Amino acid sequence: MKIKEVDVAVVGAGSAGLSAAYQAASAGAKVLVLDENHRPGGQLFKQIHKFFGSRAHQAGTRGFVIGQHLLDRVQESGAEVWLDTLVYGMQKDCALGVIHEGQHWVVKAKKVIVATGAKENYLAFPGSTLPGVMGAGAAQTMINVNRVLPGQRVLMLGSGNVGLIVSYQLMQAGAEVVALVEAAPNIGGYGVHAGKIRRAGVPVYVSHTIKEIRGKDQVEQVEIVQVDSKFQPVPGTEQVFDVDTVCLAVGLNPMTELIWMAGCEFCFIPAFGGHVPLHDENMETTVPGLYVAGDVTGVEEASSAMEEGNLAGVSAAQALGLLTQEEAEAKKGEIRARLDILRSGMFGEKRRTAKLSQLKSMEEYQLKKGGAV
Amino acid sequence: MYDVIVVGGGIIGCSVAWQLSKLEKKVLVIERTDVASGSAGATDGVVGYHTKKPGVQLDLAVQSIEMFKTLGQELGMDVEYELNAGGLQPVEDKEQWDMLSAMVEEQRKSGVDIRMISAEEACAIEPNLSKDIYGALYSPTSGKVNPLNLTVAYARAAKKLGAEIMTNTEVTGFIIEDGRCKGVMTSKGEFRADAVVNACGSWAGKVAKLAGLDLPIKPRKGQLAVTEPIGPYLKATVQCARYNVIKFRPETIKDQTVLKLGASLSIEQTENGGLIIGGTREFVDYEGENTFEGIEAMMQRAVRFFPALKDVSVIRFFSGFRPYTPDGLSLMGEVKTLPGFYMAAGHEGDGIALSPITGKLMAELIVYGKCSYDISDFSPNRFLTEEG
Repeated sequence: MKIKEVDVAVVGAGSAGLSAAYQAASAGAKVLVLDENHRPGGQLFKQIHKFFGSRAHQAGTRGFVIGQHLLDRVQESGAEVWLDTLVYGMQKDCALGVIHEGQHWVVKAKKVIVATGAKENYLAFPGSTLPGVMGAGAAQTMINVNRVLPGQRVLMLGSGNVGLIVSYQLMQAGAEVVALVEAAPNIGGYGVHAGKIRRAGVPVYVSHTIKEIRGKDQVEQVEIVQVDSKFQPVPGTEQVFDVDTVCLAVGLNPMTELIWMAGCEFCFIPAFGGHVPLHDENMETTVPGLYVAGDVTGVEEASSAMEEGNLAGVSAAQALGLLTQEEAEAKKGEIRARLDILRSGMFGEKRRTAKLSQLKSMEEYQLKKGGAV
Repeated sequence: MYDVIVVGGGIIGCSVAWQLSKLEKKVLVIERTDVASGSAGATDGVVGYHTKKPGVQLDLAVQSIEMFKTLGQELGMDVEYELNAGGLQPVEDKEQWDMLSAMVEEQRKSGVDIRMISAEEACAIEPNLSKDIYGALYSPTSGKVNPLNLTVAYARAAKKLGAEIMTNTEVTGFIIEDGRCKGVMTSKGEFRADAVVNACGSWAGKVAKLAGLDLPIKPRKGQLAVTEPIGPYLKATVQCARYNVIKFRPETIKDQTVLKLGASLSIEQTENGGLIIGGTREFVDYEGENTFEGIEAMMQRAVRFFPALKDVSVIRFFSGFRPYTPDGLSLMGEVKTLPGFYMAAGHEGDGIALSPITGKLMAELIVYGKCSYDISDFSPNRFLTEEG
């Protein structure tokens, strides 16, 4: 067992983790970033589409380019990055159990920032375990990162932004998307993404779901069925498609395993994907010195993840005495203003309400705890 | 009003409750959290002879393991008991070989088949075992069981016979009148009975204190890992020889880290294919966290003896407390200074294997005033001080 001591340990080298590492290291902290993947950047390097929003959020820039900029900045800031590195556990004192280059390490950091992101939801139905059924995110990794086509004829379940974008990218990569199926009566994602799918002639079946998938050793056919207003199947409406791949784009849930281990308090917010850790305005959880940022605090999108990472990095640096209160507050003020913009408008409002309730739960927790002491 | 109140819904308490119910006693089990929420739900299921201290403890195990043969049938539930799975203890050097050989000589006096075998023989029995061993201890008739199922089975069988099990109820004191124990005070009120049994396992010392008794039962933490299910890999339960050395001859261990962690190996494959890997014994009061130090020690021991495990994923780590006593024997019997108050606790790592016989003999003692088998060596009175 080898011991590594640093000021700040960041778990996850995605949008949030890299942003946090950059902020903390720029302020002078000794930072170590840990990621289980072979390459840093998390989901950013899968995003070959242009981002939305304001200029401050690099709108119009493709995701992987944003990822490269972020990576360059982190490298300049002096943060150390360990890749192919598994963080398998966290003790109550926030020490991290790490497997790095075949060795067992314990990383002891004064502050720990967990930015582990989210994982894809799964749906169970007859045939759902056949080879050829996969998360839409997995298919996206195959085509955009590894340049491998998962199949020739694809059916996509779920019309949120992930379902829409991945459908389009599968077509760009050379696959045929035979149908886009959505259980809700309307398409979930942005109109601009849905428009691309429609223009390409992909049939969209709203108020439909998958009944079963058939095949001997792999996906051969998928049967869909219409659902009523209570999401119950309507007999007689079944349709069958010949496909070799079925992608599930049915939401994400935060990867909270590590922070559960540390003993964080949680609340349940369906809009954020399930159980999310309580945290304050500085992204610090109920475990002192343990910060969170990005999708692990509630599933949003890459720009918010970066801003939460910035916030956690600045807060950790301030707590270490590397930034004065004035310096830190100035930075945090700017970050929070940008976050507010991201959480406004038609699509952001729901996330803003969710975040406010999460922060309120934290306040209530602190009040209760203060009262007990 | 009950005939007997059993405090503790673990494997011992539930076994005692079942046996008492069979003798038509009206029983109430009081459990602080839930059935099998303590050690019984946080351990492996070794039902072995060879891990028992030679002498009275092993004699008792012989009686107990005999009962296992028909236990699942009697309880009406599958407890995943595997008769004759075998018990194997690979030995690393001549020093361990000599120590275990001497222990085996003692153990064989109880009439059980325990013997020392060569490395080749051991690897023929368990082909996945590393060939880099000096030899092994082998106990062909040892078995294994699912301890969680067994505890639940005792509880259900007791309930079927009329026992009541009150969970989420904490004992806060004992009703003592005219020098006798007449019942318990709990977070849900008072309950009276002619006899009260303290079957609180690792917490039995604390609970005894509520009755003014000072009994030396201490919690000893054991850390465990459970792996993903894999194909048939291991039939026997395997402990490295250091397991018995730490248990019976701790004074011979020179490495202080090994001694502090009690780091050995205990491994078995469950019916669903997952491997349960354990092997630490630490005195850390009631601090039940897994530690990186403990995990590393266990995993290194596991891969040392089963090299192929390096590619198997651990699903999770957990820990349980074992009720340690200074002389390695459990406490079974009535406390002479407090009539009506019985102890059935302190089995350390032997509680699963000894649960059938403990339940049977305790029930006999409470109902008839004497047992069909002499358990005076286990009397709690051996720890009472002069004035106590």
